Amino acid sequence: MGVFVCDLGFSSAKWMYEERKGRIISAFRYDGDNLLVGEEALLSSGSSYLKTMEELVRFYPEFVGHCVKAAKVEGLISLAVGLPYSYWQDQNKPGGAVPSLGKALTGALITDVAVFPQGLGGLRDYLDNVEERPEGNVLGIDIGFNTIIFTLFSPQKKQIIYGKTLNKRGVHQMATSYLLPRIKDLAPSGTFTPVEIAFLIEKGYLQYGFDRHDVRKEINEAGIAYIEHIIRDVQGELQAHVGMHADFDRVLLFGGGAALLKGEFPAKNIEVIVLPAPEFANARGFRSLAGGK
Amino acid sequence: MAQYTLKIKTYDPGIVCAFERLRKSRKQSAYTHEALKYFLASEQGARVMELMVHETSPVPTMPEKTEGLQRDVPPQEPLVQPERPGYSTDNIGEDYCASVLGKILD
Repeated sequence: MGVFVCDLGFSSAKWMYEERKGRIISAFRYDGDNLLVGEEALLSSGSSYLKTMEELVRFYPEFVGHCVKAAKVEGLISLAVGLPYSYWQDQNKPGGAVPSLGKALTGALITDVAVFPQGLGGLRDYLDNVEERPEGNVLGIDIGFNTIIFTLFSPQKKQIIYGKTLNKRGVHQMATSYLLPRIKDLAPSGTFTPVEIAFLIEKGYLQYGFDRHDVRKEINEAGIAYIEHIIRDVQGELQAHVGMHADFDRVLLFGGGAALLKGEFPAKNIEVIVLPAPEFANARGFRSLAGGK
Repeated sequence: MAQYTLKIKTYDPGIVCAFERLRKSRKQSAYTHEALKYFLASEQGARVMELMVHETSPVPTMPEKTEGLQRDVPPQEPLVQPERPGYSTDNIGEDYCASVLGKILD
């Protein structure tokens, strides 16, 4: 029986099945008759991105259904999905969101469901691919659209030292605070809705009439400036909670936000690693945890 | 103590229609009451109730939960709830958390 992975976040659902993988944008529109999800939901007004944990859990079955269809799954599957780390920890109790999601997702094709913590899938993926476990601590940062999940862990001691989900951070904040000021000349109206921001970042260009402005360079610069800002924030959190033991030798960046980073980081004696295909890092980790290949 | 729990999706067209008919009263409880009556009067609701009374797992016949996934498969006989180690209420919580976290860093 194959393992189907669906990692739904605030920007998109990432799915993996056998050799295939794909994404469905986390947008939805309900017009009274139909519930549309994905890119087609964005084609008219009234569409919205998933914004809250409640929406994430509520719409999970619809997104999984669409992903299963997109993957052309045949036969029975076991399903691995993810929820943000802190929420997962908090809701992992009888009657909590984790067991109810597990039950809601079990259906005709899906015989068993495992719910894993997003933000830690990337750690599993990283550990699967290193030959030797690094000596010092490693800081994993999962940059999502609306959340950043950081985890300080020791690969040697197999221990999570500290981890937290930061809400209202991520690609959206990066775009509004760091990208838009850089491209304000190109945006005469001066405002973008969250849906437009997501779309702008996905496409990497802005179009006005016959002019098309490539903003990929600006996105990359804004991304690097934003990561520096986030690292300082995370450092403060770690100092407050862990103190002197908060040192790390290596930073792992993954999640959809990490896919926007192409440049070099001005880091001294700290190794910054962007995991390959960073958007799928959590999904790959979940697949490995669920026993899939 | 509630004996049964029914999950109502507020974007389910049938439920929306029941809500619509009650718009004037504006009471959430009345909405839910009407939505429940509407659901239980339907063929699906009767099936679910019957299954519950016979103490069989209703999951495989609850299409609202797995609508998207069931569309293309022939109707199944009611299954006994499959064993899902993570989701029996006995061992969820600390142990499950710890075992998953342990596996991640193993």
